[in-house]
Amino acid sequence: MGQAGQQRSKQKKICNKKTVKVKKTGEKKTPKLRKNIQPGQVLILLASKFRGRRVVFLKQLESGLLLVTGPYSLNGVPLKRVNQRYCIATSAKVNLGGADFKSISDTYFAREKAKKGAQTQEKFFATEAPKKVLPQEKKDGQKKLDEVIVKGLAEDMKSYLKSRFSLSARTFPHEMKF
Amino acid sequence: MPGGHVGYQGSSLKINPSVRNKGTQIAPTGHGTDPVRLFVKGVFMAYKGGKKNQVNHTQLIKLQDVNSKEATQFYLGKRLAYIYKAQKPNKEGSRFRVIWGKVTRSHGNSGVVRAKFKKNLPPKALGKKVRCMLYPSSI
Repeated sequence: MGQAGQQRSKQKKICNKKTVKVKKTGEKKTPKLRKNIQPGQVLILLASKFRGRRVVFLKQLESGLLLVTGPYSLNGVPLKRVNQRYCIATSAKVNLGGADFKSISDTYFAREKAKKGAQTQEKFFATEAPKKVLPQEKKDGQKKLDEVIVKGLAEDMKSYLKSRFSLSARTFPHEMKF
Repeated sequence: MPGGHVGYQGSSLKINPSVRNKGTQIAPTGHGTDPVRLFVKGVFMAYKGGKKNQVNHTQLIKLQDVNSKEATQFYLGKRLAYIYKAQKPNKEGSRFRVIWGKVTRSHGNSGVVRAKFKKNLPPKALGKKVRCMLYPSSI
């Protein structure tokens, strides 16, 4: 009462304080994972180069994207990040058999930063960008991971993962049970 | 945008149909290249409106074999693509262009659906096919 603006803002409230959570800017929550997506679940990719492919879900990354693998030897899908919204969860589940993917996080997929300052004349005028080849260690890591998973797969599950999902003339997604 | 590329192709590599015939087709990868359809076919029936009025910003789409209001529940929020061909190819060499949209709500009792596109569909699209993608998926 009768306080100047600045003073008032410095005053402490002497009453039952409800602790208010101060939201830190940039603090993000990991988006909720759909209930029917469990590790080892088979998902159908709906978009991207690998649309229609059935893949194995490994874990949800911090960014909320799902870590997924073909396995590569079965259907050519490598370790990949997929948005939940762009896959359908099937009721099929695969035993991951202790495959080790704990070390893989969003940083595994980060783009390699081009070294600055190496702008020589040739590079500047180069018409073809240097081919982006997956480093051998990543390829080996993929192989190691997949081996464990593929070992535990029954034959029919293998062929299931090899096949692609497609809608046909008499199939309607709103009536399908995945 | 994940949905940016439109392809109803078998091979993992998108081939521009007009390029295919020239024999510069890229060899498809060995992991199964049969055509996959991951969208529901639909038709752009009409713009929203009554006898005297036409509301151009909302389109009515009839999705194949969706014949009741309950059935449309699945499709709400799904992305729609109106694909058409143009004369000039784009950077990637494709002559196909897309107008993206979304299913917004159902319309009536018989499975027709209302949609809004990023840009209103042109009247030449009336009666033409529209693709209803299966994403964003909630199953």
